[in-house]
Amino acid sequence: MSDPLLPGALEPTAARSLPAALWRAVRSGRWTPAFAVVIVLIVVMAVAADLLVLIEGQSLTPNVHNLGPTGLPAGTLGGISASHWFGVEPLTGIDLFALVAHGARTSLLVGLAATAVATVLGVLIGVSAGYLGGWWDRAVTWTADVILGFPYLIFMIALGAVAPVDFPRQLLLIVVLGFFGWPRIARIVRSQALSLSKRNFVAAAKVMGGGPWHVFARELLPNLWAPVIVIASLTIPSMIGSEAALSFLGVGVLPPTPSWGHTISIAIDFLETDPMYLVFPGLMLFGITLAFNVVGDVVRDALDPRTGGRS
Amino acid sequence: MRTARFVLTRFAGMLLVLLIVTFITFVVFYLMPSDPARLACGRPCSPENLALAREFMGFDRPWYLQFTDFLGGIFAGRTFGTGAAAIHCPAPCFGYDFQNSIAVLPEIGGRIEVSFSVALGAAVIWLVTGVGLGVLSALRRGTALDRITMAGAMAGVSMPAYLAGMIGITIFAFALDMVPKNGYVPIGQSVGQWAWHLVLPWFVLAFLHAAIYARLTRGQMLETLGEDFIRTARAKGLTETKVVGKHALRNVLLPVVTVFGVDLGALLAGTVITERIFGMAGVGKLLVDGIASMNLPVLLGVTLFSALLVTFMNFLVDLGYGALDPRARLI
Amino acid sequence: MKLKAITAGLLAAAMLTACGANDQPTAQGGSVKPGGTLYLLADSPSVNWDPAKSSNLVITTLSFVHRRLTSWNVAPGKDTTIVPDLATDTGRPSDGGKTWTFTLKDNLKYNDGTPIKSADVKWGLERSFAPAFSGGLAYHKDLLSPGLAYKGPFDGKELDTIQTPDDKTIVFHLARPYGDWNWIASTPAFAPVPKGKGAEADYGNHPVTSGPYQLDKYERGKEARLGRNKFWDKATDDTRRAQADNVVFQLGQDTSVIAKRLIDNSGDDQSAFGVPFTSAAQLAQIQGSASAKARLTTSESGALAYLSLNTQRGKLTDPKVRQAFQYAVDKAAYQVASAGSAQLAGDVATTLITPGIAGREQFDLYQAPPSGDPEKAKQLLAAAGLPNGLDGLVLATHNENGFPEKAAAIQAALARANIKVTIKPLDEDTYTSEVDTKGLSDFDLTLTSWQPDFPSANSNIQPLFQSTEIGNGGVNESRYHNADVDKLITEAQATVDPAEAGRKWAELDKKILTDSPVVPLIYTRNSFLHGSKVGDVEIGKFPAYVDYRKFGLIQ
Repeated sequence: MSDPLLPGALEPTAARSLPAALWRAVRSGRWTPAFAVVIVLIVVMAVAADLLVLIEGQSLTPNVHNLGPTGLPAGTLGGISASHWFGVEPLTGIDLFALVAHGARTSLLVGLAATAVATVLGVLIGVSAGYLGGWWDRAVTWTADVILGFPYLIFMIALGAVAPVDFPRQLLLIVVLGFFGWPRIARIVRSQALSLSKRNFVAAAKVMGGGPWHVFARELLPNLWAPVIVIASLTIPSMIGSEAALSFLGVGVLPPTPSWGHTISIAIDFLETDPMYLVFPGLMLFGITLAFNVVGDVVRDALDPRTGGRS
Repeated sequence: MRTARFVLTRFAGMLLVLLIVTFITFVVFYLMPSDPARLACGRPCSPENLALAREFMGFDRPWYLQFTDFLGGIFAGRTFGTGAAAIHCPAPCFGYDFQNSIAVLPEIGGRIEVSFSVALGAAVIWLVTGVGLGVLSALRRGTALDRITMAGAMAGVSMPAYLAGMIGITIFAFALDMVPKNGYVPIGQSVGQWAWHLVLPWFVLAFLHAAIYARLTRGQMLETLGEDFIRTARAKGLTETKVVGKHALRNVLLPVVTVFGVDLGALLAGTVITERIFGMAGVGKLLVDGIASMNLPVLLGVTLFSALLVTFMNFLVDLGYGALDPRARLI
Repeated sequence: MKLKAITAGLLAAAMLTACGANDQPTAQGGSVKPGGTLYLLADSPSVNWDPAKSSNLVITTLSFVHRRLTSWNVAPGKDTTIVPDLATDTGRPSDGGKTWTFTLKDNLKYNDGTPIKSADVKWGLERSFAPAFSGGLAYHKDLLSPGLAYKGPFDGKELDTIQTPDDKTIVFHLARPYGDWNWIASTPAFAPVPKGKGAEADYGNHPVTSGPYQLDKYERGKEARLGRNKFWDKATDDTRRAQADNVVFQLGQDTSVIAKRLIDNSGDDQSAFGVPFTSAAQLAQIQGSASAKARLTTSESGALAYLSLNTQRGKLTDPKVRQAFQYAVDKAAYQVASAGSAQLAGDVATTLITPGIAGREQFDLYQAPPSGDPEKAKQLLAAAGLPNGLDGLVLATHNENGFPEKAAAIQAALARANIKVTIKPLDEDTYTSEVDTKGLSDFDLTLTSWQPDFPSANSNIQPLFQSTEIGNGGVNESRYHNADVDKLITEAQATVDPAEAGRKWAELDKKILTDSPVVPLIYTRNSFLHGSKVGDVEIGKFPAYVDYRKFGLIQ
């Protein structure tokens, strides 16, 4: 169970039945199915946010009648009741379940999309660098270093200020996080491609007249699926965490778009007076990050032939 | 000879990286709608005053000239304005913070001690704890210790830093009143107080990062223990301590050191969230304040500083890796 | 003065004070006596002690160290009036208000023992024109040197619109008659700087002080220590009590941690005062603790929070449409979104001039219950040809200080009257460039707040409604352009007699609101927390900050 994020740590595997291996991995283990269920539940909550909120009978509209005389939620435990499953938000009276459900949408959308962007870019660039070598390889390595050395917080803020006001914030986040995420993936994929390129079957393909694209699509990529999936599944929680951290600092998704990071940043101040306000989004964020980490670990164990299921 | 060429190439590469980072930062900040001269304009800000301020700070020149001014300043220093009230920024000049009337380099310099104290102290703790727990878990695989440690590590990796910090301070500093609530005491003033004020930030950071190293070490250790050369060592009759401590650990530490180097570089550049929560005047706080007041010279300076640190640590790690593992010499 | 100046900690830490008129300061028996060390816990990382670069309020931080020609008399429950500080009176106007003469008191000395001369006041003002030292309040600049032709004294040139015939007299020749010049003479740039000194950029780190304290130590990001100025003569200074022997600012603290420390009230924190406003979350926490509640001071009134309507855009060019907004908003919900309750948030606002300013008249042109009258709004819209309401409006606001949440309350309220609005929170710089700098704005509505820099109705009205303040960084966000009003503003500014000027401004208040370019929401109250050993914590009607010149330690 070595860290896949080190160059040379993973061996590319032959393309066996990947989905079957994954399914078996998730079903095994004591806690893994539970965490997989957590992921599914949160995804459902995000996708069906509108529907669920409709069932609850609420919306994202402020309503001061839900609040007590000091602006805190009326009722105990932050206003939890049959019509407010998670209670309400202080000062505005907005239903907290609606906030959290829609916040899930933001977190998952940005997290998954940013991972996808980083993975696609990383794979394309990394494989090409590893396989083609030469000046392209050097340029890629060097560019990756530059990007890794850049404090992306400043970049995000600068871009947030420069982008036209109408530009959707989530898209901006996805682009920035994806752009700053590809070097890490490319490095790993590159070393995979390097070692694969030296294998006989690749040399054979080249001798038979296969152009670079053919080699890439037919010989390299099928053998890279496993490490790519592992890396991607471990990048997801980190992207989700980054989005939340940026929203926490006020430079990610902006209100009124619901975001767990933003809600947490306000809820921290209400910790003593309305702890439930922090508990729900905090637990959700922690939960989904943990779930993806656990499942990702299990997936890695399943797909790494050296440990082959050992954990 | 080969080593020298390797070192020189990498060093030159590092400088080039820094130049590019500076350039990109410059362009990005130039494109931003904020007008740094506005902050020096006063209220009410008349167009004349704004023009005067811009001219004084050198912001009325085209951006490429501003960039060359900046680069020139690094070698030769810079002077703003003329006459008795001219401001002189001695070489190497990384910009001048007009809001606080201090050159950027000394401003960052005054804060390095804080950031480094927080980062290095935490790093030592998390390295020792993380690696130690990882080794123990690998040796006692499957036991309660292993399971608990790995569960705790999972939690640490999944917890957002700000949440951990705020909860830590609420519980330990306020509710239990065990540690000081804030502030930094310079090490020169009192080593005891310095350490005491840093205990909470150290442990919060350590909890978050140790997790990574525990998992990493455990995995590497398990893998290494299955290798042939370990079997040989055991077959030769060496004690378990020797086997683990002398032979296995070396293999394990190599990747750990790699990750540590990169991690530390990023951390030294400013523990932004930790400093904000614990009210410490470090480089991270300088960045946050610079962002809040759109203090462009400071933002430029801190960006460069953090890029420098990260690139330098990468460089060191590559050197070290190259020295330790001849296969990794990739030129 | 926008809240931005406060939160971003730009050039000065705007200090807070707390204490309502009825708060009994002695929480633990005993009264305020001279002596002791007072701690001020601040979130901003620096304090600008250079008078030329400061935008500080008269009654807060810089009052410890810099005296000006005039000052403010602030008392709970009373309007704020102008009183002399370094000068013997509040200035003698002549020539219809174009010339103002001040005489300095006797026995005024700096903290190094040298006497304060009128030439020093002149030098301090000249210095503020140098580009290296601009950045502070600049109300005096255009009046003394139109078009900013004067560039400061450091290349040898003098500003001849200021004359100092002798060491005690100073005469100002203004470009046009200006009735509020004596108020402007209380701003930081009027603090004396020894002639010839202060050329170094970091003068602010070791200024020569005229006030009751001197700057013993200043470490940016960390702390500032003030000790007594033994040459300050109490007999010449009615406005400052200077009780504590030492004042220590702890800078760069996290606001939640400041609040927690003060609620905890242990150790040195008992002698501490919290500089930042207490946020809504902290107020909720404080309401639950009897001890903390007793140490919370809330102002009576404060900055005007308002919704400005872009009078040059789309359907909002029609005054009838704009008047519908006056009935559509829910000011009660806005109060709750601001601070949890009406009492902590501030009174519903119906005028442009805020309470505490002499000459203000209270009126309500659009009478409705605090939660608004959406039916009436719908009727007005229908009468203006919009029976289905308005759609597609964009509301710009700041993305901090709870503005997005407050904007959400406004959005929900307007929706009741079929006015659909989308919210766009912007960070400070984008806000300034998109809303204040551009001539034509892309926004239909803005939600923001305004507090004048000095207690004159002039400062409430001119920056927001004179047509010269559209774009270029001016805050006329409603793009209000009315030639009549412009003329009346210039007239009122030129009126020297304060009573007559007050009447003119009150009339302008009504006249502008009839056109409805903005919807006044609340007069924002600010609350401040202090430790149990701090006493005499008072807030007047204006400004909504604690008067730092008064408080001290209970011993």
